[in-house]
Amino acid sequence: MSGTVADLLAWAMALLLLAGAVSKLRERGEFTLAVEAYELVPERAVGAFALGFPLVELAAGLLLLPAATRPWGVVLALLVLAAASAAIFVNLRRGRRVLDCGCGGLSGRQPISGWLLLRNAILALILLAAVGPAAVLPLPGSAAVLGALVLVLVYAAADQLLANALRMTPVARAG
Amino acid sequence: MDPLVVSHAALWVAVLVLGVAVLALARQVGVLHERVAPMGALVMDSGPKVGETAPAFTLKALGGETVHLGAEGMRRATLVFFMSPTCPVCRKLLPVLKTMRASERGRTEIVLASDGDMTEHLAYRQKQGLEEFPYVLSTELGMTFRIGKLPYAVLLDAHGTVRAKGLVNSREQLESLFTADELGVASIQDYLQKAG
Repeated sequence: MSGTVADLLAWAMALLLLAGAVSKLRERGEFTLAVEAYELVPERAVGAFALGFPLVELAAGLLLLPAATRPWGVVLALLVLAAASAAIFVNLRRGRRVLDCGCGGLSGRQPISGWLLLRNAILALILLAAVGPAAVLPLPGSAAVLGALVLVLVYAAADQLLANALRMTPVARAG
Repeated sequence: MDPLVVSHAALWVAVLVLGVAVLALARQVGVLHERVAPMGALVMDSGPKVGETAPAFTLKALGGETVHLGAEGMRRATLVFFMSPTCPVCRKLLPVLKTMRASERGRTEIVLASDGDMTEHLAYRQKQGLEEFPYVLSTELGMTFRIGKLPYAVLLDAHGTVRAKGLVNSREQLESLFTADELGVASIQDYLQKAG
């Protein structure tokens, strides 16, 4: 079995998206509250949005897996990232800092912050790289799978460290 | 087998194991942060809110004096300490209140509030040496502030505005009410969230 750099990047992103979608769907109640708290979606549409968003996320993750449907997956995933980033951006501009990100998946609980916008930008770059010119470089299939896993692990660790850092701030100020 | 392939495979394993280890460490740090977060005096979100003016109360204290609380008739800032003779934590805090009364003399009045049988309270007041405190019995006062758990303290300023309140189980939590007032935050939770 052989793969490409595109496989590595796309599979890593697929894992992230699938984990996010599954956790949002499993904890629908909580995600609905998070959507409501963002104060962007009209009240009547909150329930539908809280179901639709993770479904699009799920579709994006699945479409990213096979090389044939990958461009569609990239488009959907970029839409998901753009929607989430816009929501975070608007609320940061409103001056809100105490707002659960509702990211789910590997991100755990953390408030919204500018770092999440940076994170989403990096994820978007990875998605674009997966359909970019360098992505056709060949890799052994095993390396693509293992590399995707490592990328996901690094992402999860970075996200956790970010959540920790945000928790640390008030204590540092109080001291 | 090609030694390069073996070493390559070994490196992948090492990278994966290290990735898992870093993630696990980061998670553990996260759990530690959750555990050590100072909780301070816990605020139950009911009754008059911090910043609101408490309803006016004119109460007869056990010592015979009249105590004004809330919107009208207050002369200086007052800490209302809700307690009961049957609550051990309340008794533990009484010496702290006495110290506080001495150090806050003239600035903050400390009023003990409870309800129930007057003879029982008179005996308790004498036994614990609480004659120096205004000691009021009023079920209505407790209802107004929605006191569910004891000991509970409410800090009012001279205009009867609630400045801080919360369940207090220790000297630190009692003092945190004054700190909360100085910092202008409703509770330590509120402070942590604002700073975050």
